[in-house]
Amino acid sequence: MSPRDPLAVRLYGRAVAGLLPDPFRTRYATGMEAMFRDEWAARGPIARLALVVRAIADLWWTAVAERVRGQAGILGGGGTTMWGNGMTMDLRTSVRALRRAPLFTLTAAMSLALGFGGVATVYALADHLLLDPIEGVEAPDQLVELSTGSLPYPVVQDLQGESPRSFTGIAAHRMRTVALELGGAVEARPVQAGVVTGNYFDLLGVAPARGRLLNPGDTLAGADLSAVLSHALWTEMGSPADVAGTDVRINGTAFRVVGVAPEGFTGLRLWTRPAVWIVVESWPAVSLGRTPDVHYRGWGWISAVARLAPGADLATATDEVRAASVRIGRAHPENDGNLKDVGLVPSRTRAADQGAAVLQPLLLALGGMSLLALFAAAANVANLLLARATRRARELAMRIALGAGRGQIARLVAIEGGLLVALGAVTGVVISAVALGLLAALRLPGDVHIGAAGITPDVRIMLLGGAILVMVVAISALAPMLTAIRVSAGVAGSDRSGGGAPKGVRLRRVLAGVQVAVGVVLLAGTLLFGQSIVSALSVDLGFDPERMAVIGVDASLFRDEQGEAVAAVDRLLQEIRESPGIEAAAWSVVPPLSSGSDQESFDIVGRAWPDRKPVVEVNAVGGDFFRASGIPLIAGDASAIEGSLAAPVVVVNESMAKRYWPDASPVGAGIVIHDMTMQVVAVAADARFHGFGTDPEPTAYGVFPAFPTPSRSLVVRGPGAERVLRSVRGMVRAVDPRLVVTDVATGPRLVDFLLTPQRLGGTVSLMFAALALSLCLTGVYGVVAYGVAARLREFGVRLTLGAEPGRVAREVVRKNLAATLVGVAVGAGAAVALTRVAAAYLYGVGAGDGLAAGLAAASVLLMALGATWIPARRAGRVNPASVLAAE
Amino acid sequence: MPARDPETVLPLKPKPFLILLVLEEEGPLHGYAINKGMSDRSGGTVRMDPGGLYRLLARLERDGLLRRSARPADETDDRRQYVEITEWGRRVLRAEARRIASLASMRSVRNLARTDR
Repeated sequence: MSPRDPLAVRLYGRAVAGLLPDPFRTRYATGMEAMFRDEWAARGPIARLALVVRAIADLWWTAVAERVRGQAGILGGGGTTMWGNGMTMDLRTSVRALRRAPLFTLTAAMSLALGFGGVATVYALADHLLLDPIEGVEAPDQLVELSTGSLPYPVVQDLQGESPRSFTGIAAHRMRTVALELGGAVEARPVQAGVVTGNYFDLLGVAPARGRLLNPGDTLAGADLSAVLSHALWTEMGSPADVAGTDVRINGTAFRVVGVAPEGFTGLRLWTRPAVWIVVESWPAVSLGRTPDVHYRGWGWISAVARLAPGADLATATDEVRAASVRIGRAHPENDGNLKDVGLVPSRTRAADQGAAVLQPLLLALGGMSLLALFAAAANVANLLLARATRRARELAMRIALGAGRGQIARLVAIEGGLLVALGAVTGVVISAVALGLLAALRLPGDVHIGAAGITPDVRIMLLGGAILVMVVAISALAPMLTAIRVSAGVAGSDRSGGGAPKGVRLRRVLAGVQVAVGVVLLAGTLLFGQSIVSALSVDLGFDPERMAVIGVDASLFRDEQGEAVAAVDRLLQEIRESPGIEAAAWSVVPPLSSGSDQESFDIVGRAWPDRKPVVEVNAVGGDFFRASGIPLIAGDASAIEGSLAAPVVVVNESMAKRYWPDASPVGAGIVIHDMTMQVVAVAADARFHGFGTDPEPTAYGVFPAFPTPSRSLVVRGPGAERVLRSVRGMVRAVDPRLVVTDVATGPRLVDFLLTPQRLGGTVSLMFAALALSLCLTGVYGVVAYGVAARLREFGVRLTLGAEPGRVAREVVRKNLAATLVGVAVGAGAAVALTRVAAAYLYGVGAGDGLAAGLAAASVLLMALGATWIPARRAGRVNPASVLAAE
Repeated sequence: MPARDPETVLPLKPKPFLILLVLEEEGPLHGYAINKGMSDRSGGTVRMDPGGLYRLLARLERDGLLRRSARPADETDDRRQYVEITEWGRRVLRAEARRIASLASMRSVRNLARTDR
């Protein structure tokens, strides 16, 4: 397998490695994969689809056949089989029976496969997020994170100085985006840097792959600036053995590489994978004064992690940290609040990580839906097996008569079930591998990048899923097996005898009812996602994402020449403005539709606050920002922002104006931020800058030269915006190569991106709902049709005696309706409960919202009625003569 | 095994026969090329999937009819696995060809083949 192969080829390779038995696999897997790749390369898109379908069947068959046939050649005799003769016979009988009923086999296997694939996927994710210990770390059981907000570095040092007895050590870490230049690299690129305390690696017990890791010696004044590379970065560089001692440049500052972190160690955060690590003490050399000093007690930015001493318990440790925090608060009143309510969170796994929390609702939804689908599939399989067992009553009775024991009959049903399981499981594995591949490529809002977590399909999970599947089918095969045995005991053929529902039909009605309920719930889930998307898209964002593009640029490489950086950005903007089809171009620190925000406290000239200063969101902007982002101005004139760099003016938004100047226009008023007095020159309309789920906050826009930030976003508007995205990297190189482009996206793409969870959930649930609905309709139809077929003679007699055809049909509907109605009612109830849960996670869905549940219940009821009516009508159209003649 | 009389293992099924034929005519080949050779010779009617083909190759190898061979010098892809026909395989192939040829030369067989369906 090579990372350059297409996904299908890589998946095929994975499947070959996982499914085929040794020694066949060892000898031929590589060749098979190469052949598949060659076949893939030689075909067009449609033929590739056919190739994949064939390859799945081929793999499945190869895996089974190689296990059963063992070491046989083709030339006469010598074959050893795994099982005894009777078993092989039964197996053949079952395979033949299944092949004779392809529709039955396909429906049953596909439903099991989808359910299984879903469950396996969700378990793989959940296992990784909640159960896998952090990789590359020694004794992760002893690790705890301090659950506080971000801490000022001096507070961490105070805590280290207190050295609580329950801990063997306390370290701290923080991710920062930096521009990295490798030796001789063509272009700087943005990467994540882990900024850590000197004892970080020591505390975690991480062993270097090359050279050494960071240690407290690196934190001493006068020490060299040292960096540790991640294993992934080192591999990307070609795994040079002599990497230690070389230089890399971080934000333009040279760092000496001292070593490489071990493979698999990616820090303690879920979605971020640092490429380099440096010590806190070297951060100033990287930030160049654009963040507060690391020793400033007012700047909380770093997270603490600690290792419990052997035998220490969490409660005592928590008490000790609290006691230490009181002492720290007494010595440094400004840090009094930092460690208030501190708790200790075991961090053996990443379950407590914020990244996991982002994914939890999605996992919950996916897990629930796939379990329901599996449930529906099980009901379906039970239903189908039951129907077959009853239909085969005579065949089975014949077998008994010929001397087959009851055990053998039961075994036949069991083998059929087992074959379905195998078929379903293998296809399910493929589905799950594909699903994981798709999920890995996905980026979700909140910096979630599942691919970064490195989840792969896992044998343990497959086994777990397989066990669930076997259990499901075993349970669902139980009823048909019992029926088969009962039938074999001499009641075969009794179906034709009397009126009323034949044996097995009652159970089948219940099963169909279960499927109806599941169908309602899954359809309601789909509708909820749809409802959320519709209401999100109908929200007025307050600005126009169409024809807009956002380009992130980082100016860290300008180091302390930020004046030059601003000039370079201006030149770039000028160049963009001159591109065809561009109406406006501007920059802002917080771009539209991002999650970033920056808050500052402020004063209004001539006003005093009784308590504390109020806080507003501030957004540093420049150029014709309001035109570029499409935010209309309500009052005043913003041209003062466009022109000069240091104009002490701000534009406030409507929310801020209403809250602080409820009776007058704020234009002309003065506000003070960071000791700088600025004049309000205009009022802008409210905009939901962070997307539909957020309400507009009071916001002040201004140039704010007092707090320079190295990363900005360019906001570009006009029909040519998308074209600019494609050429912007070239423009940047021409303007000043020290500018680094971090991210580019069109406005509509950003909107889409915010809706990714809904779209993903909607698509998946639609898939499950479609499956469950088709299962439930075939289930309902099958039960009614079977009941009608079994009672044809009775209907014939009644019609001969003068019964009205419509009445006969209606009676059949009525008898079968009860289970459907109960199913719909139960499903609707569950859907209402689902809505209540979903309301917490889905934008635009209220807890009391009955729309989705009602709609789902109504449509499933309607469809089920149709599925009942069609076969029921046949009951009224029976030709009495032909039925009675057939007797 | 090579000591056996090739006549005793006949007839060969069509697919093994085609594989041996392709290897005899074209020399050492990898899976995809074998498949292509079979497809070409059969006018597109014989086409195998990787699992089926390699299972057959494995069985032919166990019977000593073919063996793994080194990659040719001009092959840049180190994942392709090459096989070549063995001396025993050649003998079996020839015996099978003779058998088919003698069958095909029977007049009654030719007559049968000429009649429609």
